Amino acid sequence: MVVLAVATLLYLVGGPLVMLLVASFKETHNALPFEGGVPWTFQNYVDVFLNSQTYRVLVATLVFAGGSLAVSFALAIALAWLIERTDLPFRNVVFVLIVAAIGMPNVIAAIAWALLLNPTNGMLNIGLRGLFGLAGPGPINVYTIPGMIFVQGLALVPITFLLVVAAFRAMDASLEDAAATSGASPPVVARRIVLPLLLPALLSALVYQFVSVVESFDIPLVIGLRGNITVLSTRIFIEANPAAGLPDYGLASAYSVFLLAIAIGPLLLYNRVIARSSRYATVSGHSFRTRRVRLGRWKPAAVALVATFIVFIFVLPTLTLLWTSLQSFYAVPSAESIGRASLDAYGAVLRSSAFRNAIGNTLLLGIATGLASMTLGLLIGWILVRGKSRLRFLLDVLAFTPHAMPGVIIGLSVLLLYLLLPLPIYGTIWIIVIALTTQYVSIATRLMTGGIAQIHGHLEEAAATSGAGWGHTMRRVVLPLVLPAFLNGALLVFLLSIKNLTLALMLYSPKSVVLSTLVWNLWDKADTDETAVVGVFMICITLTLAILLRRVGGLGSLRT
Amino acid sequence: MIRVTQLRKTYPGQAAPAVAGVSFTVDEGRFYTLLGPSGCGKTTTLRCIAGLEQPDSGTIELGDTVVVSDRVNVPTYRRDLGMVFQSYAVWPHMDVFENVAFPLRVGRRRMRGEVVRQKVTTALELVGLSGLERRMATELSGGQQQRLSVARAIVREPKVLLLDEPLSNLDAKLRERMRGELTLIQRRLGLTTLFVTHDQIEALSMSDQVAVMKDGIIVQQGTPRDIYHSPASEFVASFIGSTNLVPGEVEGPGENGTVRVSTPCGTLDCETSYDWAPGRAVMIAVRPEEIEVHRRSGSSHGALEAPNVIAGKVQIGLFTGTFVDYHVEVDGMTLQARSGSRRPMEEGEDIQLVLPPNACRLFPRDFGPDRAETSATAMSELGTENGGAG
Repeated sequence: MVVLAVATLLYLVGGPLVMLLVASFKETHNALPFEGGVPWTFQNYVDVFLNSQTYRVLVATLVFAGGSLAVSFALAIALAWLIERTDLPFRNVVFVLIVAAIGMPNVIAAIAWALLLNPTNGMLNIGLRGLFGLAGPGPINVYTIPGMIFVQGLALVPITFLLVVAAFRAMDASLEDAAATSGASPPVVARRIVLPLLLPALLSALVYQFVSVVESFDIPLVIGLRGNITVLSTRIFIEANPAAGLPDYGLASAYSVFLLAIAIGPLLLYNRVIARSSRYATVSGHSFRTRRVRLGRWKPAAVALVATFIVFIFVLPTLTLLWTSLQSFYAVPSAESIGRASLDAYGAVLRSSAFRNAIGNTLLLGIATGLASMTLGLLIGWILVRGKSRLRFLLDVLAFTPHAMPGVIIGLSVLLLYLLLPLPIYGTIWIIVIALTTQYVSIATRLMTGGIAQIHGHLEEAAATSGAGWGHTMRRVVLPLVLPAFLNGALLVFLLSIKNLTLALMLYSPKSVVLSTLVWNLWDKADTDETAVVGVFMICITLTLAILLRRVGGLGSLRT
Repeated sequence: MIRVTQLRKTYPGQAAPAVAGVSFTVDEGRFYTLLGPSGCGKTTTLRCIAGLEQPDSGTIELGDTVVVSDRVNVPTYRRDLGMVFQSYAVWPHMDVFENVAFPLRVGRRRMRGEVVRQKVTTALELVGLSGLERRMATELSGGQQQRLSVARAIVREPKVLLLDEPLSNLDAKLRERMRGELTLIQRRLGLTTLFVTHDQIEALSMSDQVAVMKDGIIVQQGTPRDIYHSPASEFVASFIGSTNLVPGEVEGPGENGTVRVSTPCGTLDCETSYDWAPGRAVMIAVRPEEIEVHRRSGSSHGALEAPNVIAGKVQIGLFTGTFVDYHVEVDGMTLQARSGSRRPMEEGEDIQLVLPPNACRLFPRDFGPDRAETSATAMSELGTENGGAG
């Protein structure tokens, strides 16, 4: 059982990484990396490190990452504090809305903000010009690094928020009460008690989200490239999918190794934080109900902040797409254009076979990836929690690795692997399923480890002392108990797979178009109304899934 | 001094008030305990005094300062108090010294350097943690964290000390020891102390005064002896210590000015100073250790010459070391009785029980659906008269 799990992970995670490393040392300007007679070379690394453009890309990547993290953490901490520690009205509704925003695909959000804030005819820009009597273009240009930071920062908030909320909830409120009864005023409590105690959790959330932002691909693709801003993820994509000429897989691999190093650096630091923070483990007494800060006269400001955020994160993008989907030619909302609203684009999209194929492929992809990665996660999770094998350490490392692997790298390395392996899955939907399973096996393992750890070991021992063998115990005791966690995890992976543009775009063929690639292709062709229609369908599916995720609180355990 | 007057608090979204009009006074230097089952409002009362909850109405005075009234609500950090939490709430990111020094450094009267060092050292000495100043708080054992939490609460010599179930997370042995130590520290410093617990032994052994709470009100208040020997209601009698409750009906006067009650175990004479009307439905409460257990066969003095002798059969005798806990079957009921463990009765043995009239306490049984309220009324009705019994 353990050997099977290790072998599967080695195949899914180790194989592609080896391919990537080998390819990065191959001379591939005019050849595929594994063709016979392709020479070994260091030239790819020379090209990467001695090219001044690389450093421009690196700076852009780091500024983009830093800015987006700053925006998302500022918002997430404010929202988490308001919901967990104050008397903000409608807290539960706000919580559900923020978490539901996980269902907003980044590619859709990017397209919507491009429609709202592009400098020539963005709807908000035109509104602002009218309001202040300005001339075009502008005043706001989304195709800039601040524009990217804004959209990416918003997109990162829901997960960041869940991580921060988990940190707040893990903190015994009596630690704050004890400071108050010691004579500390609220600002002193915040500075001397709350902040130091939250710090380890905030740092680990920061590192987690750093990986998410350096691997971010959709927003740099939709918004960055239009403004001639390249970050590492889009750089790799361009080398592997050039607009003209042959792909240079060797160079793309060398860039990938560089990106991998950047993504892993903070993770190593983070492991040291974890080691230090374990001493913060407190005696967990049952805590009395948490006191809430009275917002008093600040309440309207807090409500306004929360409302603006919710409008920005999905109400406005969704409305924008709806509006655009009803206009055959792109138009800014006005009395005249309302009159021209029509459902023509919906008819065209629904009649097209491309759309019907994409829907079928998307559902197949989501279900297959959800079940595959959760089954694998269940097996690995059980071995990690209950197993006694010495291979557990290896298993843990292998299951964690994909978490540090940016999507473009998984896409590229899986592509390289199946260029070499004589399996007939290249160009089918299944290569995307395999890549997505690799990507999400980390989350699946985290979720299942948590689920299994919640089942007291005594329950399994009780089954054993009742005469049940391993198989019986798993089937009759463990599986029924982890089923809710399993299904919830499968739903989450389903959702993430549908939203994922990176892997689908790097691995698709005309036969295996899914909704995310369809949206991108239509947008790339400037087919605005049909982009919007497909986008509306996609949002309907993903938002429904996000709302179905009842226990997304479990996402807190996502913090790997 | 702590004075609480007509304190009320209802949590939002809950129909029943958590605290429904609580008044009491803790005299200077006294140890006062709020005792009751979970959900009785004792912790909410304490947290209102600490300022961690805001009451709906009522006043609270600490020393000569009014901290809560219609017009004022002094925030927690401006109240001169120290508090020990059930979870200890020691700060994991500070060492022992910094934990204890914290109240000295953040309050209105901030102290520095040598003064802080001296006060922290004294406090740590008092709780027996000297020498551990540089340990991280989380490296301490549960008992040590508890002591640390006490040191932190007393270090700035507050006017009042609030203890929120501080012993309930300790194991039995350690709890017993800390009962003594905590009481000793309180006596030595002469701190006005309010203690909240659901553990009757803690309440009885540590306090000057005990208030028993139920459903948001104080149902009885008195010295530990009063509360134990003269419970004013069936609830107090059964909540404090173990008690046999025997239902019955008043027949009329018994011997020696007692009241005679007919019960399923036969007629029992009960000492009381209240005038019970014949026919009144009552409940008799008798503590197991007050019941005398006698062998029937082979007894040297034959038939017992005492009131309230009833026959029973030992169902089981549980040897506890100090005594044997007998479950005795009497006319279909089971009574609990205790006696020394030297010559235990056999299981199944026919025995005789003597329920001394002064150990039989009477309560009215005509409780409506809302027992709490009626028993509180019954208490005020009976309170003083029943006072001297036992």
